[in-house]
Amino acid sequence: MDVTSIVVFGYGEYAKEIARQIRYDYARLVIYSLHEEYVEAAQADGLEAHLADLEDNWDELASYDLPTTRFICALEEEAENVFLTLSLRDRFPEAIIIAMASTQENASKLKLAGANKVVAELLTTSNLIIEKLEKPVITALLEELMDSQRDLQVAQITLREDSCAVGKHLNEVLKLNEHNVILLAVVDFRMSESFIFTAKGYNHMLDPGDVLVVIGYDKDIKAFEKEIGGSCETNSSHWSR
Amino acid sequence: MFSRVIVDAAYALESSPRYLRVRRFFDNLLNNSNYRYKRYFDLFMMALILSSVFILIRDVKFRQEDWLAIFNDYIISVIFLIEYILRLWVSSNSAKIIIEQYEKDELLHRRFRARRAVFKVFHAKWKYMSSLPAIIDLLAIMPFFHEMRLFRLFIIFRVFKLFRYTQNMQQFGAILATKKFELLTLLTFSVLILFVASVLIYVMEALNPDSPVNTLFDALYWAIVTISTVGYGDVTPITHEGRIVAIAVIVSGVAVLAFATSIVVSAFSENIESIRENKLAQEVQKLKHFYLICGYGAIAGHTAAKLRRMGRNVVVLDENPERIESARKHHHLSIGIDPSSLETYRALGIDIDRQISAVILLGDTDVKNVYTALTLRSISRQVKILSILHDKKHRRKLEISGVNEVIYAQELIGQLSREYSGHPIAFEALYALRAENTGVQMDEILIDERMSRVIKTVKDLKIRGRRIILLGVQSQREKRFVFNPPQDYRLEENDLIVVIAENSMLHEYRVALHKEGV
Repeated sequence: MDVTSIVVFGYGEYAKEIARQIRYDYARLVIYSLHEEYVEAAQADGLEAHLADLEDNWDELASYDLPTTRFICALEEEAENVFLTLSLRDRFPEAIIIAMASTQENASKLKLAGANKVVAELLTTSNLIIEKLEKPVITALLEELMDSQRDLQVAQITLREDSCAVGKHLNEVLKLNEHNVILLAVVDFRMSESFIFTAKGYNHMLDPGDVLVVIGYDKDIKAFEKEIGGSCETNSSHWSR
Repeated sequence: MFSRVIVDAAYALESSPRYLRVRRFFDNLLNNSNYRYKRYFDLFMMALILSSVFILIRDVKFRQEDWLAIFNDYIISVIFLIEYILRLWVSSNSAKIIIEQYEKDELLHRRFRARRAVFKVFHAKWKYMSSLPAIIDLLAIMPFFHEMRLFRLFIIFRVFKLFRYTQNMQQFGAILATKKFELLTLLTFSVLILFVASVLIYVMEALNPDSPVNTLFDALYWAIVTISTVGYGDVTPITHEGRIVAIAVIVSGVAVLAFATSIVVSAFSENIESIRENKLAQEVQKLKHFYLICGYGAIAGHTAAKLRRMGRNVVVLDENPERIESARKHHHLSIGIDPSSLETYRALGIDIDRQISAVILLGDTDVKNVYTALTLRSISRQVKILSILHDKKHRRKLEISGVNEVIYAQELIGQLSREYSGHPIAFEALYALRAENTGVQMDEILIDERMSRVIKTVKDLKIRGRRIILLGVQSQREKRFVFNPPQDYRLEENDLIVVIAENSMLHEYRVALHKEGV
């Protein structure tokens, strides 16, 4: 299902940058801050912003459709951020929570608190420095893949019950694929949530609900998706971008 | 006439690139400890010295072989003589001295004083010849006159020459030199005590027929043996007066030893930091390639540790002692000097273009990083500089100061959050490929000149049949990344192919490519 709403907690340096980058990608972007001045700053930037309290029960968030909403915890204080993540997880067990951490130590605390994904500033920055130095082409390629404005994309295709790929082995799908897309990996949620990389050559049987990770140009990915679905006569797959 | 000739000769020498090149070469070889070939020269000279000493020792009990005698007396001596002459030559620039004198006289509208210029030249040379190292060098050549038995003992001066070729010894001497005043005071004090003690013991004991002290030399010998606290006991005072003198000498001997020890220890403890910095600088000079991190903090710690895990050399510079101590705790090669100062790079004696793979600026502030970038750019136009950006509005300044890559953490994290919000699984797959421990990795392989002879198209890469995914080619010809190229796509030298494969498969494939172009 396409993501429609993003809720960002905090409006410090990081949160501001996150808001700047995603404000036009989704139907609704809401900022919650613990400080009045941040709320005012966000409103001055033309964003929907509300004052919040850590002691809140977050009842107002219950109105969001959780499967199509992402919570991004980027409060300025690390301890507050951990507390917020824990509160959100407690209140909304199904929610997808992304949290920011400065160090690896805080990243593990946020994971324990229930964040689905933790972005650790230190590690991410130092990894990027090394990649830029050691693998400049790959870094540029990954940056291109992450840039939603570019044609080359990485996408995920979820196989539905009636997909023609269901019941086939991964190798067969790879052989059938005549489009200009590269099938990178498969996630089988029934077996485990880890990736089955096609490069490992593991001959996996595809099931409904499996997610295919593909890289290719926009139109090729759409054609590939259609082919998998087309032979089954319905648009059986879904991929969210 | 004479004046004209020497001025013309001086100008001719100073303007001859060949002469200057040769002179610079010998100056570097003999005196520049950062010069690449000096180490080999030093080792060669040390080998000569040690073989010379070995021949001397062997000569004591065995008959000298003729060829050994020739080697020792002529070959080694001639090499040392050549070295002495070369050192004398490069010790001062005679042509420059003459030109300076000529230009000074011209400026003051007076006749060129050739005699004064020649005197200055000789004075400069004499100053070098009368220095201790030069005297030792000269004495080391003496065994050349092997017919004179006494001169053979001069071989031992060759051992002193070892000081020249071992940097540690030079450093030891330099450290002791910082305590010159204290050492001189101690020496004066000891000489005075020795003199008084020798005279007193002689006066007290020499007339006593039972006393072993009969001459002034005996007295001096006893005084030295006693003051040094060695006390052989072969010469001892027997009169009461003599023993009183002995008590005084023994007490002052302990004081002299304690004083000497404390001077040496304090000289070392005061200079320990500079000794360490020198040692580290030498280690850095020996590295063929390394990443230079300017400014140590949490990001620098992570970056350095990961680069080292990848087998890369990393050198950290930071002027803050606490931060540099923290870097050392993590076993990084770290030097406590200011990375934004030109003097730092001169003192380090490194060849930036040749040795540094890239500079990573991780200073606290953008101001500091801009300043360091400008310092580095003033030394090298080529070196790759990557910098972290703290405040978005300073990006342009960093770019203007010559930084090739600017990394803004906030932007990156914003990007990651956006990606993860949109398609988390695809994002995680890419993220997993970047991590170290998934077993599968994305890597770049350069088509080098040798490989390009065999590999003409994508088909020649022989990817099919292997568990390798060819993601694309960074084409030199097209100046872009070509995604999923067809089998007949033409490959050229310096193209980069991007592949995804399991770690061991990737390693095997790389080896195969390099060995025979698959």
